[in-house]
Amino acid sequence: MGAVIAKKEIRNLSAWVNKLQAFVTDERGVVLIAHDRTLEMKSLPGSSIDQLDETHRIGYYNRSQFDRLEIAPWNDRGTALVRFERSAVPAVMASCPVPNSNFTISAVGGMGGLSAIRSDCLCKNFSLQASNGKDKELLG
Amino acid sequence: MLEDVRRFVNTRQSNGEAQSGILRTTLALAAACVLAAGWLSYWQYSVRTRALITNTMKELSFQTFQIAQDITADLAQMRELWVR
Repeated sequence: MGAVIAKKEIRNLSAWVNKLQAFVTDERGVVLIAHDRTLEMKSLPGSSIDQLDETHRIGYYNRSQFDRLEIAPWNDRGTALVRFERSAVPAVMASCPVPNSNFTISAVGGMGGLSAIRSDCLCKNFSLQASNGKDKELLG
Repeated sequence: MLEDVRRFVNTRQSNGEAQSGILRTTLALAAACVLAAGWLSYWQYSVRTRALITNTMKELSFQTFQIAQDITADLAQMRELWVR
C-alpha cells in the first residue's frame, strides 16, 4: 500500500520538475524523477545509498548499482558555480526540502549569460591580461 | 659668426629636449588611460558576473521553494484521497 502511494506520488511530481530544470531526490539522495530522464536513479555525491546493503537497494529501487551525479565546484575559489554532469557551461544549484515528505527538490540553472557579459566587456583581452588572471577567480 | 652657430645649436638642443619631454608625458598619460580603461572594464565584468550569479541563485531558490510548497499541497491532497 505504502509503495503504491509512493509510486503515485512520484509520478505526480513529474509535472513539477518539468517546470524547471529540476530533479527530486529521496532521503538517500537518489534521483527519483527529473526533467532529464537520464538523471533518474543516479545518486547525489555523498549520498547514503552506498551504506545501504544490496538486498535493500534492490528492494527499494529494483537495482543495486547507481551511477553518481557529477556535481563539482566549477573552481576551487569558493564561488557558487558548479559543473553539472560535465557541462561546459557553469551552473548554479538550489535545493529545497519538500515539507512533510522525504523528498528534496533541486534545480540547476545554467549560467550561459556569463559568456555574454564576457564578450560584452570592453577591451576584453586587455582586461583579462590586466587583471592578471583574476577573472579565473570567477570562472576559473 | 662662431657665437651665432653656438646659439643656434643651443636653441635646437633645448627645443629637442622640450619635445621629447612632451612626448614622454603624452606616452605616460596614454599608458595610464589604457590601464585605467582595462581595470574599469574588468571591474565592470566582475560586478556584473557576481550580480548575475547572485540573482540566478535567488531566483532558483525562490522557484524551488515555491515548487516544494506546491508539491506538499499536492501530496497532502493525494494522501487525503487515499485515506478516504
